[in-house]
Amino acid sequence: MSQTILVVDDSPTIVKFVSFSLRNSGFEVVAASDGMDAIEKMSHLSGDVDLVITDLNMPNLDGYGLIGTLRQNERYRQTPIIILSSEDGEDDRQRGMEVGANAYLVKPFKSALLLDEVGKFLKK
Amino acid sequence: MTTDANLELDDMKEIIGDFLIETDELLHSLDTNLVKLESAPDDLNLLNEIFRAAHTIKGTSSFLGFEQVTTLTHKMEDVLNKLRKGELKVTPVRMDVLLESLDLLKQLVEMVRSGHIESVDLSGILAMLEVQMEGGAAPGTTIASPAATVAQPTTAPIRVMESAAKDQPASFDKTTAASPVRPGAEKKVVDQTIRVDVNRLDSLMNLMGELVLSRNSLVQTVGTINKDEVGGLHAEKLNQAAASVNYITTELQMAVMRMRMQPIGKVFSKFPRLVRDLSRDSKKQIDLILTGEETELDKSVIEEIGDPLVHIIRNSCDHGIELPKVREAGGKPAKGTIKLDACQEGSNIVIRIQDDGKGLDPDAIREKAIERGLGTRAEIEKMADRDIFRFIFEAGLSTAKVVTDVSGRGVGMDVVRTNIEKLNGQIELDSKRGAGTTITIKLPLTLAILQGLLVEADHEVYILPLSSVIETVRTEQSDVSYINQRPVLRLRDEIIPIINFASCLRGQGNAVALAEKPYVVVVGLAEQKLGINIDRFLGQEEVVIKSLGSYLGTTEGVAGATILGDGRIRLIIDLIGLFNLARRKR
Repeated sequence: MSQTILVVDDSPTIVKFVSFSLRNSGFEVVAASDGMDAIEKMSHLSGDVDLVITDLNMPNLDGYGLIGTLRQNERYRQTPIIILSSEDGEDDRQRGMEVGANAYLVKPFKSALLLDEVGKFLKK
Repeated sequence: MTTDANLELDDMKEIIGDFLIETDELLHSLDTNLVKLESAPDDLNLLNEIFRAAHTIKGTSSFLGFEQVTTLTHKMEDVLNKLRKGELKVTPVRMDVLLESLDLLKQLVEMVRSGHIESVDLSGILAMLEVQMEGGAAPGTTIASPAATVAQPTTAPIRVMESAAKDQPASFDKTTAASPVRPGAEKKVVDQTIRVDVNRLDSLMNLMGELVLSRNSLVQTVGTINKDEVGGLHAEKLNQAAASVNYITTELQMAVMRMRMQPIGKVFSKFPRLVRDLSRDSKKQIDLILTGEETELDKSVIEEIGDPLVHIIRNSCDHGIELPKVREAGGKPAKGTIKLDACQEGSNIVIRIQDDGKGLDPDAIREKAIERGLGTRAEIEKMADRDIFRFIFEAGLSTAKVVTDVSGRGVGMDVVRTNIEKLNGQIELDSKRGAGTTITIKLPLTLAILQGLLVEADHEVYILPLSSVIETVRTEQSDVSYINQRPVLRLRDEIIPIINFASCLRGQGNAVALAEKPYVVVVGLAEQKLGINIDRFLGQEEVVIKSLGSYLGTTEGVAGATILGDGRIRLIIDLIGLFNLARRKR
């Protein structure tokens, strides 16, 4: 069974870019447009999400909020989370890691880099 | 553009298509919000929204390797970030620079769309943004229109994918520019939209049209069934089935039409910027009040209505609203107001543009009209002001300099009229000297399927678009008089010329038609009205216009034909043509 990755970004372009790359590598992708949407989508999923890729700066519920919420939930305490951010600041990276992210990628990136990062957490 | 080894070329194209749609939405919201920011410089929500839009464009463009877009948005973001943190204040100069940057950004995005990406000298605008970010207006920094240095794309921009869904407020769009309330709070509903190619919607609409025709035929046939031949039970069942098909078709038609509807706010939202720029250039103070932005219109109408509205609003700013000093001297508030309102009235959309400027001078227009030979002095002097104002829609008259100077209506009203005509709409102008001008535009909700009024004249049946019918009157010969041997109808305080189909379309009978039939249908097109003399009213039916083909297609006054429920082919009258014919006969 293929593994499911949740992609959260308020830019449809980036969601599509990331989703295409992931799907081409054989992953299932669930897309969400912000933190609230992500939680909503996850609550409707029958199976588990194996990995979360999220933006930080989003309306309604931002990336920090989403990660915090997920980490409080028994089911997602261990799920790997990769942050995609266009902020290349040490503050953001540190804060992201503190709330519980596992990796931090700065946009833009080649899809190969993203797939490498995903590969560190998920075995095909 | 970067290529990415893990993505197919087709995928890349699709992603760029999405980028353009998304960026268009963001640019659109930036346009609206930056102008809003000037009057609400402390609105933190607004600032955050603006910042996020620039931020998103920076992020996505960097992904796809559109470096110039990234560079420019990056610098804009820096300034916006300081604004939102309160480290900088919103000043007119700062806003000018941001708006200039936005204009340049739009051009860069157009280049991406057209596929001709050329290197643009951004150094000017970047330096200006830099100065703004440092917090100072460097002495002598003028806005040297950096936009002028951009090479225009040589080919017309090609839309990668036109999306009907893209302007629905419930798409990915975070800003909902059309919404009069502050967004942010209400955007909690999970988005449930998909983007559909417009061509698919068009073909759906065509099929819908065919279905309406078949439905008409079915309903009519069932209505004539002889119960005794078919048997009562069968006839009853058939009746029920036909009634249900009838009902469902109507519902389906509404649903298909609604799919093509877009809120007019999409058009309205570019006007705050327009009015801002115009008032800044002309040193006037103008408030633009928008209402009814949520009113929905067919996509094709939305696309056509923008230009005429720009003309009208520009006129109001340039010529209607006076300079603050003049206004105060006239006992008015220094700040002028333009109100733009849209609402639905039956199967029409009514758009009203109202300004409290100086209004039109009917006597100056009268003089001009006499000079132009649009009527004799006696005739024109007798005409009511409202009829006089119609003259400004005449091509020769509205461009005449004297009208511009004296009455303050500039060029382009004939262009407005042509545009409104194309949409089968009506336009009316009312003005009071010193108090302002109101222009009312009435448009049909949709152009694809029309409600037709079936009338009979000289043993021939014609179909008139019902949305253009203003009223129907039973005439007494005493209501009809003749001016220069041309029949006119006196209807309350109006004088309406009368024609008949036979003389107009078929060239039969007297060129000077006698108005001797018992009924008159009063139709309106743009600013004009015309009475059509007919024998009988036959009813009302939904019709779908079919072209007559190249053989008959160019008959003036005929828009096309349709198949009625009884299977017969009838002509649909083209009002633009009919008005032209009538004008020439007169």
